[in-house]
Amino acid sequence: MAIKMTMPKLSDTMEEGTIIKWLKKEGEAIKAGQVVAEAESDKATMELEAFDEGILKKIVVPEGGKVGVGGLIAVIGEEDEDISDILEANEEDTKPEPEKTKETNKTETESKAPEPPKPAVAAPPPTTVSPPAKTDIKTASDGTRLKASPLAKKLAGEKGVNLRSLQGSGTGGRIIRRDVINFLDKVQNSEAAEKEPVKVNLTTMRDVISRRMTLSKTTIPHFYLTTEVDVRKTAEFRKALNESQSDIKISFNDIIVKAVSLALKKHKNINASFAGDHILQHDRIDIGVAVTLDEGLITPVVRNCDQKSIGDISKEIRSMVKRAKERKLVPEEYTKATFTISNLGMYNIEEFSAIINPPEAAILAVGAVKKVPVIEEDQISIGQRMKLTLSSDHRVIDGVAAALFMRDLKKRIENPMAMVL
Amino acid sequence: MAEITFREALNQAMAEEMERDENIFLMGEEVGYYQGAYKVSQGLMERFGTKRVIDTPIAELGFAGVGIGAAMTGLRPIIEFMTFNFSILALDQIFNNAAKLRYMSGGQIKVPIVFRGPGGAAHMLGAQHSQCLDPWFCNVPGLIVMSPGTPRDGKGMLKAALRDDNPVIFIESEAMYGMKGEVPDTEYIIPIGTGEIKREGKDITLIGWNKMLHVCMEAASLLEKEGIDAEVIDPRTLKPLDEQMIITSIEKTNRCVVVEEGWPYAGVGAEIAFRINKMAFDYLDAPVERISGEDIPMPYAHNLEKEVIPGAGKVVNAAKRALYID
Repeated sequence: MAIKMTMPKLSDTMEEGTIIKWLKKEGEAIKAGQVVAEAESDKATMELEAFDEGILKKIVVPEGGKVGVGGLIAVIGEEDEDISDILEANEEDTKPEPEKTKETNKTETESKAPEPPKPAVAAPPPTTVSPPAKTDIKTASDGTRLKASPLAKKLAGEKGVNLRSLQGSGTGGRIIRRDVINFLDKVQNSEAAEKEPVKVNLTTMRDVISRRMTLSKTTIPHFYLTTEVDVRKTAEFRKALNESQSDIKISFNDIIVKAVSLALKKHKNINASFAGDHILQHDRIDIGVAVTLDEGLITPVVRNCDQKSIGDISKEIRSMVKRAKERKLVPEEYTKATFTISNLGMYNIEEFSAIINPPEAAILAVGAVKKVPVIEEDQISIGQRMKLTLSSDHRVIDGVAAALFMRDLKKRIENPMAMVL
Repeated sequence: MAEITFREALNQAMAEEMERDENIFLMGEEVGYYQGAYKVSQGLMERFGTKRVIDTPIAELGFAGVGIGAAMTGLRPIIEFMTFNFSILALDQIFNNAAKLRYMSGGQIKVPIVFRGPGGAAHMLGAQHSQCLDPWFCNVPGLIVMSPGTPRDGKGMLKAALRDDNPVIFIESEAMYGMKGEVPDTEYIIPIGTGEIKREGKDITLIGWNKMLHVCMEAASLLEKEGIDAEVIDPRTLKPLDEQMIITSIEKTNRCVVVEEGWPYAGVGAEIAFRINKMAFDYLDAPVERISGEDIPMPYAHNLEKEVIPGAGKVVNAAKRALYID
């Protein structure tokens, strides 16, 4: 006999559901308990299981299609079974409301469609808690008497549990108190489960970040040096630069990139990579600039920064950030940096320690520019300060070497005019 | 509180009431000079004299009738049956006169009489002397039926029976006369129609009276070892029944085993089960289970007799059925 698969009620508030995916095609054999489709309610996506075995004769609701709870979504039957009756009846049922009302008004009792049988699909776990109809207590869906102890019936009535959704564990399948209680517990648990963290699958980028950062933090012996930089002059310098030309807008970060490149040129031991039994010192000074994206971050690389002007660096970074956000960067544009700068100053982060991006030997974490009281010649004045933190690979760089690099970098940022020389 | 035997407790009840009310007298076979077949009336003849403690011929119908006549004229007799097996001879007097005269006289004639003696099986007394006749008396309108399970209850209940103006069937047990129990030193009355929770529990209610109270208590101990917390209740008065206590217990436990010594068909347990079904239906999570004596005349052989009388094992099994434990 052909069996109707209908849209189950997947949540308390669900009124209609969407078929997300059919996992079986028309004509395919289905076993009882097999997941045949995925359906989405207003809350979640659930798997739909077949209760019976047979051939998936007809998919009534295609992928992406919506249907009300209890609506026909597919028909399961024998290989050569004629299911046109069911499909016709279904079309009749899904006719627009006014027409139907008219019809039933005419011949109320005769044209009434038979009660739809028990849904052929179930969503695990069942969460159909609703005030039971009178008939629920007396009969099961197949017309046989539903056996439940008086107490179970009373309890189910009070708690709004549909006895039809329970399996009796008492004598002869009688539904007893513990069945109702177990069911309520299960529903509570599944409600609790809904409040559990949402599972977000890793994007490729997230996956790469997780693996590279784990590799870095577990294999590279990091150490951190923080220095405070007086950026009063730098701010003035930046202002002057931006006022001199209207087509560019230099950021603090652009100036830092340039200053770092010059400092790296002098401190070649920082612009290096650990390579197992030797260290590679790079001639090129290619600086990666960390850019945040919705799904992670990427570090576009400005090549040969030491040879570029601040303006060129600024333009290049701006262009690459734009394309990074559009996900249009090609791999050559975000790989093979020799040093990375990460700046959270715009988020008002005072200072932080970054994780080295291997195979680089160091990374610079840039904090926010802050107005602070400073004492100069026994006078308190308002100064502008910024904190820089260098994370170094101790296998390549020792503390003093890193300190010397930071001292050099600090000097360059604090006296920016030298950069234009 | 003193620890005394069941027979001493009953003896005290009669002595105290006879002391209090000179209309009370005791009559029966060997109650006087022999001090009672089971020594329940020990010392009473010596204390109250031969006018108030009267030995009768072996003629149950006769002395039951004499007692009823005495009650009609204002005395308050205690009629002792050596066992209730012999009361069968006196049933015409009990059913047709004791039970009905107050009704048929429009309330003009009261019959304040207590028929007491041991009921049920004792030990290898044969089919004719090992019968539990509780349902017989319970079935007749106009009779109060009481059946104590402890010395304390025996004394308090017998005193209540002796103060009531209606005929009371007071069923004791040969097997329990030697049972000891604590009995209050001060006077107390256990009113007719009041049961008692003998053991508090929450998982299942076991109902038993007389000897079966102790079978239920033993079953409760066995169930406790399996983690089942049984409540044991004793209605004490079989008619009128303490329905409230029974229903309250069922509302708590949702399950019940009624245990009675008598035969299954139309037993007191059947009546109790019906009332639970009627009044606590929505609280039942399983059908009420019944354990009764087997539906045969009592075998004489000891091993068979043991099988016929309900034991704790049967009660435990019934409790497990009601708890859906295989």
